[in-house]
Amino acid sequence: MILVAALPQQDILRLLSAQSHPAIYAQASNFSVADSEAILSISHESSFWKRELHFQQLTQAARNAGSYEIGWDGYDAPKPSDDSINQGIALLNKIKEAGLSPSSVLPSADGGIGISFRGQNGRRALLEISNDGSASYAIYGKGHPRLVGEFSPTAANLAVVFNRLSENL
Amino acid sequence: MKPTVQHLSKAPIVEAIIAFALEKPLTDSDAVFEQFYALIQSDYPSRNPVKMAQLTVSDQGSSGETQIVGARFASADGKRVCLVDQSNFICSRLAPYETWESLKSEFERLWKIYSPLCNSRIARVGVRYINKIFLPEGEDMSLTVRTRPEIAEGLPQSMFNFLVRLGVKIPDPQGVLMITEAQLPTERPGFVTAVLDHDLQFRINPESTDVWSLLDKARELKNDYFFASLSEDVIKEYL
Repeated sequence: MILVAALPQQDILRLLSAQSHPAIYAQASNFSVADSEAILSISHESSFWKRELHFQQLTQAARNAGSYEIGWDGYDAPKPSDDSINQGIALLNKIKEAGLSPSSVLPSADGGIGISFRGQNGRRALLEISNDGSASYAIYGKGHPRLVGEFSPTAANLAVVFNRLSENL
Repeated sequence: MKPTVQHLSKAPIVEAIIAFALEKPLTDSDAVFEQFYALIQSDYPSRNPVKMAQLTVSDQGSSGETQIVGARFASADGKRVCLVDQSNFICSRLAPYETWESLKSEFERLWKIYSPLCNSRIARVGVRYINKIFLPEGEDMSLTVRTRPEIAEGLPQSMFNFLVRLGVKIPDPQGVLMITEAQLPTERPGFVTAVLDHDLQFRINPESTDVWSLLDKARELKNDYFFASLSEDVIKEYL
């Protein structure tokens, strides 16, 4: 009897990457290597898996930010606090549910975590969660008006912020 | 025994894919992708390159390069995606899933546009359905999922992560079924998030004109395989 248990916070990227070359192919029955590779070439093209992996990478990037030390930028940038990292990961989950796609997650030079987006025609957006618990967004880009605002990262509904991103990126 | 196929009003499908593999790789793929985009741009305005990274490792060191091997076109809402590369033509519908008929009809429409551009016959057909299901945490997996890992007696039985990948032969029509089951990070308290991914692939004679009925047959099989894979208790959550 196998009892399923909830997945602890951990990186499944390594596990999922095993999809590329499952050991079963090495032992497979009647397929030649060429056949197996051809079959896999179709198998990889899932937008769902691509998005899952992308968010796993972003989550991992947020966790990795915890290893930065004070002055990591060559000046005196604070290290991201554990709270800002955890809130950043929770915010990533909400972003995923909202159907948005950030491009990267990096520590902030002011202390905290930044989630970046790339839009069309050079538009960019940044959601920043500071070490003091405050959060802000900025949508910018050469030739475009700059939109800025604050939000509560723990709010249940962030539709206003997400709609702003969708409409302006 | 053939499972009972039922209509699911809350189908857990997160992505449905139909794919053709071309008999011959494209020779001038950039031009083909460009022409194709011009013809579908009104419905699929978003275009992104599909890249492939290659890493070469030798005793002299390592080097890497990234190549653009295809193009991914998406509808404005991102729910419909068409991906082309040198050897494949792939359409997918992301959640919320509509119907097989709408997926197939859109695939057929786009293929009729792409086919004269790529000028290649079809060598393989694929139908892939990816489902996200929620299993009660702490419940015996044998009561929910019928293709599942087994842990030997004498080992701890509380499993917090799994990735199962199996390739099995489909006897009629001859093909392969790639089964992927994986656990994802928790989304609902008290439930384990799992993915059930069935990828059915069939090699066909490029002379064949019966490709559309083969797709319908693949659809029947994917329904049978889905209902055979889960217990009635799990399925009733999606009725």
